Amino acid sequence: MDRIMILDDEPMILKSLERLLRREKKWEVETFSEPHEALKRAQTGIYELFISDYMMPEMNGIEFLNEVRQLQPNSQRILLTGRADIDGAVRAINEAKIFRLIFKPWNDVELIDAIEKALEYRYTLQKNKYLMDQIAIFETKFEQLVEQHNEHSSMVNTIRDLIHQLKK
Amino acid sequence: MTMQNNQIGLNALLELYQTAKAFFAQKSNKNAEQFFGKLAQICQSDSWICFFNNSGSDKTDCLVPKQSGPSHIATHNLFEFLPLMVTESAMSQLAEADVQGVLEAVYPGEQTEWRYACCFSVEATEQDTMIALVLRTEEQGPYNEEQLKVFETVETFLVEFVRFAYNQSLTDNLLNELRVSKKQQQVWLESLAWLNEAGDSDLKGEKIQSFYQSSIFQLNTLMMASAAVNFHYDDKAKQFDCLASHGSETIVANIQQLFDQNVDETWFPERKTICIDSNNELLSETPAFRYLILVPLYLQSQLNLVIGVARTDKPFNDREIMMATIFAESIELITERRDLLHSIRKHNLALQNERNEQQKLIAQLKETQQQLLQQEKMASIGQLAAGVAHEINNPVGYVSSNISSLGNYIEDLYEVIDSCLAALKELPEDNQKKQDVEKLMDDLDFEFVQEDITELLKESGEGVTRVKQIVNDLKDFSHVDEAEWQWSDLQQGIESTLNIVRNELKYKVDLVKDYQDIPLVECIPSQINQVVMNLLVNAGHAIEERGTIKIATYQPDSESVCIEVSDTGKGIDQEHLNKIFDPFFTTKPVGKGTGLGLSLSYSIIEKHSGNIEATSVVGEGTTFKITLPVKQQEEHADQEDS
Repeated sequence: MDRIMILDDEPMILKSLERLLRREKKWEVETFSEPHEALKRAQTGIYELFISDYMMPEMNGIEFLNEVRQLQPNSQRILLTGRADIDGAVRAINEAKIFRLIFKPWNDVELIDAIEKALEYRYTLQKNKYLMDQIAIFETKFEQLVEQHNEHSSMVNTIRDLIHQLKK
Repeated sequence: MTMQNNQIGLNALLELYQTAKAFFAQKSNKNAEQFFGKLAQICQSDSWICFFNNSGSDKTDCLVPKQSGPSHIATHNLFEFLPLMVTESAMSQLAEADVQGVLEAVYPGEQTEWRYACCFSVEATEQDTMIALVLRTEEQGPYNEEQLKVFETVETFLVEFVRFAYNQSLTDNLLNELRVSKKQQQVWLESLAWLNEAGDSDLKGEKIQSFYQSSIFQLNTLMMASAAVNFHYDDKAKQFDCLASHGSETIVANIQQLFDQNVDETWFPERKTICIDSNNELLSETPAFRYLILVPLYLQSQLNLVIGVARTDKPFNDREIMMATIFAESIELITERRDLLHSIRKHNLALQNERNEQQKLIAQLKETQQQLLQQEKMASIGQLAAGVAHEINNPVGYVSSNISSLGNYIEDLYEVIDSCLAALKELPEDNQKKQDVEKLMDDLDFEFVQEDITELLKESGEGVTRVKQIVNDLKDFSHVDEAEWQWSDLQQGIESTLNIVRNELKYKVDLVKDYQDIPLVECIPSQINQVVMNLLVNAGHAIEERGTIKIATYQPDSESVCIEVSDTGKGIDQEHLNKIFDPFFTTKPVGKGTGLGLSLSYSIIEKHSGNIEATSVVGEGTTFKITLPVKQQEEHADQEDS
């Protein structure tokens, strides 16, 4: 099951979000109202998705998500924000490679959809990486084999081309 | 009457007295003849000769009777005889030789018959002496002693009488002079009074001219002059112009010529009246006037006017010169006063104008102040709205989500309850537990609760949705500053907006479009569309069953573009019309509409430096007219990029 961390300085919001996500019955949810605590936890536990509020007293959401990206580069990130807050922060949002912006007050359906999409995206990225690794291993093994057996058939070239295509 | 017995009758004396009086009053030939004739008669003489000098004159006149009447004789050679005659203080008879001598001198070349003469000497004053000779012929013979004695008395009488008459005539003269003087003083006082009155008035514009004319007329009369003039000195052109004149035309022309040719500034080195008579060396030719006085007048220390008075008969005495000067100086004062009044009036006008300008400025400032206040008010409301919206966001967010979750939980619970109830049904009717549950359901009104819960959740959900909408509108309201300026086709914007609202309008509204040619307009298209949408939605709401909405676009002048949205709905009350753009003002029932649509539209249009106004007739419909400038002023577009 995928694990989701939610950070918001308002406990009521955390509870509400937790209820919402729980209904889907497919994710493990952990909530924090304090960014430093959340960061500490992120150092010891793996999360597939981080959802954070933007406007918080000690650290803003973008900073947090940026930190978390460096701790867990394989995760996805979603930012929750009131429309007024976000002016001028577009660049920062892009730097933190945030998957999606959800405006408060959120629409439940929209939020669930965003989470699913984020996790799917993450899965795809991971899968892609895995496949690339597999291709690299296969390529090495293949070349070894070609050398050992001194094979120069056209099939060897075809396979080489295919590997080349896949790596692009 | 002649002397009888060497006595002179009273009548004779009286006549002598009267003739003497007349003679001394006026030394005319006729009077002389009368007087000396009488004297000769009284003295029983045939003829007479007299010598006298007019007062003030050096010359001695000699009168002798002739056929044609008494006549004057040149008396140079008689000076020899006079001393002879006058040293004798007493009445005396002249020696024959002396008589001859006189006769020869007085009747040169003539044969005369007189032989004997007596000499009367009368001294009126030191300057006024008379000597009378009475003559007798050879026939009549010399004067005897007794006659000489009587003549002495006559001489004494004459002396006394002449002195008296002389004094009297002096007194008469003095009295006359006094009368004239008094008359003149009267005229003088009247002139001053006239000056006072004339000078008292405003003398605006042309009135000064008639004042100059009248004052010159007055001066002329006062001075008993032949002519009086008023010349103005033009400092730049260095020449004199005649402002007013009165009196003899010849003399005035003469004076004019004088001013044209001879007179210049150097004639008046100081503030002093100058007197010119006809043989003055400053004149180039001999003028018609004999005596002329010129009074220079100044305005702010510059030579301004020259008043002139001319006479041909007698020169101006000191007193007259002073009078003329004083009169002229009064004219100067009056001119100065007028000048000052004029200045004051001008200054007052300037001050008044300034004041008016200032009043206008103050009004403008007040208006600007009002505008600023209004803007600030709107800005504060905007800020407040933003703040409130921000605060509300979070609670609204989670309440909304919670209600949703609640709904879900309740569904789940009811699933459980339903399956329990189903299970319960299978129990026999007399099962205690079944009966307890049924009773409980009854007591707690279970059916009703079940139904109502759905309603509850639905209504709460709707309530929260409304709050979300308000928060959204509030945020829009305070964020009119965002978004990009573009050159946009308004008609296209209207069309796309119509697309969105078409559904809401299509069942009760006939849409009429009147698009005239308009240029591209510099604006924030999404915001203009928002305004149009708002107007269309309002128009739709105003129409109760069926009606028409007309959208028109046109260009009233080269600088602006208009959009009009009119409806045939129920209209807006006059008293509400000026409140419709106020935030939160709405006439819709509670729950329908936030009351923010028009105030937001107003903000947007204001941001575009445009104008939005509404006209309406209750029961007939409403028209909203938006006017936008085609092009924005520089500041606007720049502000957005910063």
